[in-house]
Amino acid sequence: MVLLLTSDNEMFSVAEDVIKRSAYIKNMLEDVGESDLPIPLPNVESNVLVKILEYCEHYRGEPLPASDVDPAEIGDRSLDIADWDQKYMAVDQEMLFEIILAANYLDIKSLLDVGCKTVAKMMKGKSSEEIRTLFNIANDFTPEEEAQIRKENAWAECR
Amino acid sequence: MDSLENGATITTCSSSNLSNPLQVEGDGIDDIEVFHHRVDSRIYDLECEIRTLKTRRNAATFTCRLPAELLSRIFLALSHMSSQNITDPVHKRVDWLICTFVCRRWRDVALSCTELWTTPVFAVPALAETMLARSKDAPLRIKFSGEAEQPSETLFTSLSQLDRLLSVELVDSEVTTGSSQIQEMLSSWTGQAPLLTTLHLHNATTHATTHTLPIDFLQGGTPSLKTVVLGMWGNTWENLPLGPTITCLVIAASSTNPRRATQSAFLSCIKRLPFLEVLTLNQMLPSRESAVVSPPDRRLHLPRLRTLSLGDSLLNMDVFFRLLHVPDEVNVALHCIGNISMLEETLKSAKTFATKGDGNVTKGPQTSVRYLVIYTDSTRMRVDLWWKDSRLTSSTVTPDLSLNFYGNFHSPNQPLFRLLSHFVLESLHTIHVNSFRGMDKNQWRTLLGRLPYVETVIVDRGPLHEWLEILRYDPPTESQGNRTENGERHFPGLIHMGFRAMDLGNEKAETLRLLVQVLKERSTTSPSFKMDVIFGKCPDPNNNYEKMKQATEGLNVNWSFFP
Repeated sequence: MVLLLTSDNEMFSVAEDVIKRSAYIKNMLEDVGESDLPIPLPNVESNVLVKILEYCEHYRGEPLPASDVDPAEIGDRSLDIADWDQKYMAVDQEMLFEIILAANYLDIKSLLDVGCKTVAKMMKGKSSEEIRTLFNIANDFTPEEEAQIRKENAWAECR
Repeated sequence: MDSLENGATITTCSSSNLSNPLQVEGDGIDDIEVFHHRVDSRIYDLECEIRTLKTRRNAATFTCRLPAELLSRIFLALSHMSSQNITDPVHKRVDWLICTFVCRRWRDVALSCTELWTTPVFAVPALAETMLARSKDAPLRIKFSGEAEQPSETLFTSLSQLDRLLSVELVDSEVTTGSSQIQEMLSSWTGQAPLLTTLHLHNATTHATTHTLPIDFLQGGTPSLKTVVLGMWGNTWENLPLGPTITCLVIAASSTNPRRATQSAFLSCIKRLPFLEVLTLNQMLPSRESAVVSPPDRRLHLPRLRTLSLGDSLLNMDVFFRLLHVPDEVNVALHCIGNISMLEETLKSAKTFATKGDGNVTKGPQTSVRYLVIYTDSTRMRVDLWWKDSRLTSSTVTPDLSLNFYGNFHSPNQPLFRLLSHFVLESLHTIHVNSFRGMDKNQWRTLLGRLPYVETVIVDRGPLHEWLEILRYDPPTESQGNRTENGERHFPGLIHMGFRAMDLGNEKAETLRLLVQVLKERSTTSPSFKMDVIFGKCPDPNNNYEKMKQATEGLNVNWSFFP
């Protein structure tokens, strides 16, 4: 078992083959070897780690995906989000982005990939105003930038 | 300058710290022009301040708190989603551009992410030019379909940067006016393309012989090249940039290809591809005249091959199978042109490709087929065979062997059964027949109807009456009872029949009677027997479908309609 200490000081005891989906932890275990000391995760809160562990547990035993495969090379498959992953990602925005940040920190490529695709899917087909509303973003462009954007927007609209 | 949480900085305007934001310096309006100037300047300052506050506010949103590399990753995912579907109109394919129109932070991140701009959209020349500029030195992916776009300066500028090219897909179509320019550009590709992984050139014009690769094409080397797809590019084997990195080779030439390789040239090219996984050759096999047949132990081995597709005459395919030995896991598709009487010889040669080193045949005509799909129309016959059971769990599994014949198939029974006689069918489980007409009842019953393990027969688009005639039990006679002439009940293991979009013929009442009869017979002999019938929705003034449903009430039959 591996001990993990979250930023809010919660301790988790996790099976090694579950958490090894994280390349960060895997490398650390390989470098340090067996130890009773917990691995501190200063960038991950306990509620997020619970969610991350749910993902790792679900894919326990499955082969690790090849690192950073070019999505353009694998074609349509790169667009798919598995059914289970879609349900897993049905969380509020705060948790969604926390998962992405934690997946990046823990170096879990497949989870990071699913997280980014989930956000991209939320944006797909929306106008800039709709995206601003979706993510609570204000339009902070200068008039000059707005003019340039209007020009560029024509590329996407006039065809 | 203010510093944001994510490290970005913002510029604040000069007079943003006034205690009353609406206060204007000087309060007199003696000179209206001066007053307006002061007010305008104040408005400008306030607008700047509002934008600054908005930027600061945005910095605290979930998306803007992401580091640039993660936000870029999201944008890249969006661009892949948008650009993947090439049948979409251009505006949909570039709708990912929206990520540059949301806020300053998003725009800055998107414009700094060079990878986002590496596939110039040539259908919109101004956009293509901007994309090329924003891609800076990043590796380029060129996709030019030659339909919605014309060759532009940006296309040629992109193609001239050989050291930056990651993948190139060029289709030269009839509507492209710059055909000769494309040819000229390719002629200048004599150096090294160090990053190039995919090269896809397709000549969609009717002038197959006008497109050729120069003799020194990419002679400088292509150390990363994995996929080569050449369609109608008047290719000769000698000019191709072939090397050990290639895993997928697809070449199609016209049926009058004058540049067929000799056996030795062909073999010397294939020898350079030890890691080949996919090989598709259409009209590119060496001619039989040039062939010197190798003895079996001298055949060239392609150990990694998983997919093989050949389109050629049976004579040339025969040569191929005498030259090459491929693993038995390979999914093979043969598109045969020529006299079907050559079939036996080709199949005999094909048998050898499935022979393991110890001489045991693990796939091919010596092991029993489990799943069989037959498709015919007047000009084509396709027979797909699966030896593995995987097809029984997924309809998308590629056949182990797909045999395609082109010619006149108005009377398909004889060639079909002659073909099937070359395979062991003892363990056949499922027969799926599509668009087969002119059934020969006796042939079907003799070859397939006696097989003990056939559980499922699915028929798409055929004469329902003829199929029911095959599947029904013969009327009892003194000597035969409810059995066929040989005393065997035909299709004895059948527990599932599926009919889809069938032709009811003119004698609908008779067809209906026969359908009920078959259902009753089968339900009596196999209690678990079930039938699925799917009809296309069409006008049915005589209510035939309703009558059928009523007549089969109480029997295990599922009726449904295509939407």
